[in-house]
Amino acid sequence: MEELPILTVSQREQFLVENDVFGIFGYFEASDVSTQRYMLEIQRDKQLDYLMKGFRQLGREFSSLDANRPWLCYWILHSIALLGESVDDELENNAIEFLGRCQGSDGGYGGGPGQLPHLATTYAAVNALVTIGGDKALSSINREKMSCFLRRMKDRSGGFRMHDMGEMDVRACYTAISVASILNIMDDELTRGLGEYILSCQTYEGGIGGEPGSEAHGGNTYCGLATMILINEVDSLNLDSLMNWAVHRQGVEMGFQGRTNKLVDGCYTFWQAAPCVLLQRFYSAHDLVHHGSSHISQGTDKDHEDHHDPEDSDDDDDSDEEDSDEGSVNGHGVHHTSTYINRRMQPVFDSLGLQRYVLLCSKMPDGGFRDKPRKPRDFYHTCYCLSGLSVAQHAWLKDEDTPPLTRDVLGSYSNLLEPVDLLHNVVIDRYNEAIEYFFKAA
Amino acid sequence: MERVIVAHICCLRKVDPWHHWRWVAEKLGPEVAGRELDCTWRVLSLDAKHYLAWSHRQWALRALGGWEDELDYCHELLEADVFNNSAWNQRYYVITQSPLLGGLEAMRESEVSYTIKAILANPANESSWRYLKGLYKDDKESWISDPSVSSVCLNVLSRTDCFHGFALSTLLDLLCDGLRPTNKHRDSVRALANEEPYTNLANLVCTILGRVDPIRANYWAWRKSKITVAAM
Repeated sequence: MEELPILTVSQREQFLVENDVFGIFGYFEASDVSTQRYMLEIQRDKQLDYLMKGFRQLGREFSSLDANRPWLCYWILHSIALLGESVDDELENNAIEFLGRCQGSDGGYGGGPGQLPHLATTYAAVNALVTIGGDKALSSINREKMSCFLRRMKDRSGGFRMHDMGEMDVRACYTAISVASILNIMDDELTRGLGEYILSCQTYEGGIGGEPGSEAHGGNTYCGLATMILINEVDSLNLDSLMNWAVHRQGVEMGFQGRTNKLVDGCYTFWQAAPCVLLQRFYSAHDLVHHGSSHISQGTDKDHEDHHDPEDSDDDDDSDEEDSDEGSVNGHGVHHTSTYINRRMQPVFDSLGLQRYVLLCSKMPDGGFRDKPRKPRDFYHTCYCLSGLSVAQHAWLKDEDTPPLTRDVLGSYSNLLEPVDLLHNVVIDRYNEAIEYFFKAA
Repeated sequence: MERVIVAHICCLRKVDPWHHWRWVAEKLGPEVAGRELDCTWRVLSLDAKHYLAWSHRQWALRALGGWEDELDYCHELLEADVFNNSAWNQRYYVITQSPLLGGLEAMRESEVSYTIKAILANPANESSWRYLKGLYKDDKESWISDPSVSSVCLNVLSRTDCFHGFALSTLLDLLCDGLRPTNKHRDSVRALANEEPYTNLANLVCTILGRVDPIRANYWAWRKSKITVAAM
């Protein structure tokens, strides 16, 4: 009798997931064109339905002991913003008011009214308020108290703790710095020793773990890299090995996994694709400085904004390297100026493949997104699948001002989502509004 | 009993129980080392990749000790599942941090031999290749001059029944770090080329990788564009 190969746990689990995913892909390939078109549709109405219902429900559960409500606010509001929509004024005001009650008297936001302020819920609350936008939302954030809170969370070793006597890890560092950056309350005290701490969390694999010694992990890699960019110390990381690790997290399903030899998960669409794009843009901007390669200088007269946006400085278009793949005319047969071509690059990961995984395997038929087939939908995955989808659609662009081409977007062009600021994961328009508001507030 | 109380407090205060337990255990001192290792062992026996259990275990070793059996424990996990990247990561942690061992350089030879065995048994296992490279962290000279590294690549490339991607990318990294290729290297790579033009070896490796590892075709093209004169 033929002996079956003994599979390890990793192999068995991977095999089962591949079965499910390739089953879906196979069904897609075998379908007629109109079915395929339908399967690739993002289904905006259904998404908004799921999100709006979720948001209204959130408002109703006043007595809940759930510590997650600021997160749910952010996940849902951000998802709605990615779809280019917003909630009505009444719901917005309810959210602003609720989050206001989560704000601690000594700064920061807790999971609910009266709960211990925590960096993660602070990050979620600030991002939610920035996403709502407008004076009422933005003015509700007490910047002075927030400064005190962030200082209290700062550890002597350079990192940050999630809360008083709480755990210290890369996520805590990111949430603190992201908030400090948006609110324009960054200072030397907050950044002291931080770069060294995060560097100590980069592993032999190239990715970044939660604590020194911990395994390289997608969420922590995003957090670590974004933080380093925000504090301007990204070149102390080993960027080559980070890039190498990140691109290898894309598997045969075309989605991303969180760690080596683990399973694909829709949320890593954002956590892994964002670092790929951030790194690629960084390399693109730094090529000129390090190698002084001869290139065609194409000034683009980009408005330099008053604030220092770390991402903008990476995308200084004054002397971009010409994209070697864009010698020819684009798919529409429209001749773009060489300026436009210079603002494009070939993403290092397979963006269309990634979009296919999200739209065919993560997207649920009646709204919402999930980790993988057989898993239930939830707002966390909806947020990060949509965020990741936006990143993937904009991955050919060296900056956010350039619109994607039709062929950058899988499915119809109506699938196009709003671009996000990669370092904070809020939609660009709201990010810009907040930056301007808090710059003036200083 | 303390565990139950702590878990309860953490639930009420909405804080992470793993971290809070560290705070308690620290107060109780090294006598509880065994208990902490035992507790994480139990969680890991249900889920050998549980992220928080692993960081708690690493903390416990660092703060309370108990390193003696840890390398053996990693080996056990890898015997059961050589694809368990968390176990490889823990192995790295032990060889670099254990006060009972000599540190990375002292452990390198035995670890290289261990890893090469694992690679040859499963050339498509990314964990083992990354671990191998990790053994030479911050020591480029040893990395490019150690013949075992080069030869494991050539060995895998000569096989027709397995995935060549990691062998090729490892060779690419060696070349970019300054390895002077021999005729063996060139012949080995050329044997995999499909009439692809030979400009320089690193360039050819990138081209082949684009075909053999198509998910990362764009990445290999990007790598090709970054090859400097040193890798020719």
